[in-house]
Amino acid sequence: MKEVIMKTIRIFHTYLLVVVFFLCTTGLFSYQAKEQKSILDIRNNQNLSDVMKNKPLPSLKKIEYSKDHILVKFRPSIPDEFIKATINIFQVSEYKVIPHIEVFKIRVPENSTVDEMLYLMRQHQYVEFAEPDYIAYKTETPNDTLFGYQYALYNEGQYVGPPGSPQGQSSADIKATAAWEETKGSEDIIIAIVDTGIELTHPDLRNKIESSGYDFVNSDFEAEDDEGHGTFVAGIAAAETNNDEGMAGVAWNCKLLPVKVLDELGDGYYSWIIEGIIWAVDNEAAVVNLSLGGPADSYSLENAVQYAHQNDVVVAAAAGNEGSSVLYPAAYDDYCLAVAATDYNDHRPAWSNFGAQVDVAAPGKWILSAYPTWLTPPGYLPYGWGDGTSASTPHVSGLAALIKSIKPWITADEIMYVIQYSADDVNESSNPGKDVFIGYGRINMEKALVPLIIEQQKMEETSSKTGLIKSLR
Amino acid sequence: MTKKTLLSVIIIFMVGIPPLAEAQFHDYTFTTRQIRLGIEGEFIDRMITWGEDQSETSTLKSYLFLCKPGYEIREGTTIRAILGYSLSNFNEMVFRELPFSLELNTGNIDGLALGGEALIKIIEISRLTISARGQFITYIGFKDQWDIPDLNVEGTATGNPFWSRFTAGLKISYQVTEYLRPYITANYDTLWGKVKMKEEIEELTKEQEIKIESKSNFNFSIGTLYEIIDRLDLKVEAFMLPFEDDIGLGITLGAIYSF
Repeated sequence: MKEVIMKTIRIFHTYLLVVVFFLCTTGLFSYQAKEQKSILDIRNNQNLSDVMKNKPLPSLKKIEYSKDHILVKFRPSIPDEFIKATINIFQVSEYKVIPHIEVFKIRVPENSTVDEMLYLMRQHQYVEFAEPDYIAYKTETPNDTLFGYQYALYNEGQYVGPPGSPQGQSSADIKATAAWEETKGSEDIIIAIVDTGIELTHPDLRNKIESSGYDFVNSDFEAEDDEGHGTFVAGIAAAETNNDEGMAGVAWNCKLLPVKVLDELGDGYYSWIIEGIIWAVDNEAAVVNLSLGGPADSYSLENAVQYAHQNDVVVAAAAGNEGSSVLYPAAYDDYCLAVAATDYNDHRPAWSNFGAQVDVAAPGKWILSAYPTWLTPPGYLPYGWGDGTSASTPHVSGLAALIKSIKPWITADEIMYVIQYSADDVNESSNPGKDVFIGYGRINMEKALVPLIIEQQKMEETSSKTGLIKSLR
Repeated sequence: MTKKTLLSVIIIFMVGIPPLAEAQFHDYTFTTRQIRLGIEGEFIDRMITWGEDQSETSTLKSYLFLCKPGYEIREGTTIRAILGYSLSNFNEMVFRELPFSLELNTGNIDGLALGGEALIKIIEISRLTISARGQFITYIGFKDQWDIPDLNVEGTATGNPFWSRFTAGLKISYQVTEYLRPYITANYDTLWGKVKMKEEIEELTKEQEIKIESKSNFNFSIGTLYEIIDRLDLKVEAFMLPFEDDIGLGITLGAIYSF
C-alpha cells in the first residue's frame, strides 16, 4: 500500500515539474519581470499587445498608463445589473461611465494592480475589452510664438496665415515634431545658405550664425542680406527655436553659414554661385542650400556641385517656380536633391517645376519665415509669408542637417537616399511611385530620423555656359 | 525583484517538498554509469548591454533545447558535449549606425547551440558533495530576413546573431533520499556576442554589427536531481542573475539517462 502511495506521489511530482517548466517557458517569467515597471513597451508585452492587436503601433516607443484606473467596456448585450454585479465581484469601489461609448473608467482596488485587474477582466465573459488608461503627452513642440502658423512643420488643419488665408489639411506636413523627439540637431553641423546673404542681426537668426560668411558680390567677409530672400530661406532651415519668440527652424541646433552670391535684385552670376558653393564646402558646411537656379546648363556649375558631393556635402536645390523644366543646378541629378513644392493640402502647386530630376517635395506655399528687420514696416514683426520652391528647399536642407547631426559618419549619397525613400508619396492616387512632379514624395522627417521598427512578419522571398541666375520666389 | 525571487523559491519547493515528505533517509546513492545522455530545456531572461560604451540595455531571452551526451570519467566527474537548437530574442535593440535606424521587434531568431560542460567532484563528506562545474555554449543564429516597413520603396533587413556564454562555479549537493539530490550553485556567468544587421534598400546597402555583453556576471542557482525511474534522472534548476536594479531569471528542466 505504501509503495502505491509513493508511486502516486512520484507521478504527481513529475507531472508538477512538467507543468512548472511549461509555465516558465511560455512567458510567466517575462510577465513577472514587466510587472515591476511603470513603463511598458507594448511590443514586448503580450497582454498589452493583445489589447492593441489590429491597431497600428504608435510612433512613441514607451507607453505610460495610470496605476489607479483601467478602462473597460462590457458587451452591449449585457444588462446593467449584470454589469454592476460584475464590478462588485472585482471589489471596485469607484467607477465612472464615459457617456456615448459606454466605457467604464474603473478604479483599481488597493489590494490589486492594473495588470492583475486587466488580466482578470479580460477573462470575464461579459467584458468586450479592458485596457490601461494610457497617458498621452504633447510632442516636442517649440514655444516660438509663430509656430502655430508653420503648418509645414506641424499641420493640424489650422489657418495657414492671417485672416482670410486658406485652411490646411491635418497631417499635410513634414512631421517635424515627431522627428525632434529623436534629434534637434548638432551645433557642429553647418548649413550654408548660398543666397542673397542673411541679415546677421535678425533676432531669430543672430545666435545661429556660424560666422559672417563671405560676400562674392562685393568680395568681402560680411554676407549681409540686402534683398531679403536669403534671410527668409535661412529662417526655415534653422531659425533659433524654442526661444519664446518668432518662428521655429527645421534644424533647431544646427548653425547657419551665410554666403552671398545674389545681389540686391536677387540675381547673380554663375561664377559667384560656383565660388560660393566651393567656399562653403571648404568652410565646413555639411549641407549647402541653393534656393536659386537658372535655365542654363553649365559645366562649371556642375563641377561645383560635384565638388560638394565628393566632399560628402549634401546639396539641396530648388526645382524652380515656372511650371516648366527643372532649373540648374537642381537638374544635376547625381549631385543634388532637386526639390519641388507642395502646399498645405499636400497638393503640388502648378508653378512648381517638374521633370525626371525632381527628387522630393516639401511645403512651399504660405510658408512663414524671417524677414529682414530693415524691410519690415514699423509696427510689424520681422516675419512674413512666402511661396516658392525657394521655401521648400530649406526644409530639405534642415532635414539633411539633422540626419548628419545624429549620423555624422554617413555619406551625402546615403543622406540623399534616406530623404528620398522616406518621403510620403502624397500623389500616389494619380501618380504612384516616383514621378516627375514631386519625385518620391513630400519629405517625412519622422520616417527619416526615428528608428523603423522591424516586425515579426518575415519577408516573402519575398550649352549656354554662362549667364545670370535668379533667386526663386 | 521580490516576486521573482519568491517565484523561484516556490518552484524549488514545489519540486522538492513531495520527495522530502517521503524521505526515508536510507543510505542510498545514485547509480554510477559511464555513458549518459541528457536532454535539457532552458529558458533564460537576462539583461544585456550594447551600443556606444555599452550604454544601452535590453533583455535577451533565450530558449535552449539541448542534447548532452556525456561520459563519467570517475564517480562524480563528468564531461558532456552540448548540441542543440536555440531561440534568442533581441527585441528593443536599435541599429542607429545604419542610414535608416532599425529597431528589432522580430521575436525569436533560431539557431544552433553548441558547446560543452564539465563537472568535477572536489570533495565528498558523508551525503554532501562539493563539485566544480563549468559550461561553455555558443549560439549561432541562422540568418533571418525581414521587410523594412513604411518606406516608399521595398527594403530588407538581414539579421545574423551570435553569442557565447561561459559559466564556472561551485556546486554543493546533498543526497537527501534514494531518489533526491538537491543542490545549490554559485557561478561566474558571462555572455558576449554580436548581432549583425544588413540594410538593403534599392541602392542603399549598409551593415552594422552590435557587440553585446551580459550586464550581470554572476548567477546563483538552486536545483535538484530526481531519479524518476531506474536509470532516468530528472533535473530542475532555477537560477538568478542579480544586477543593480533588476534581476535576470532562468530555469532548466532536463532528463538524464544512464547507460
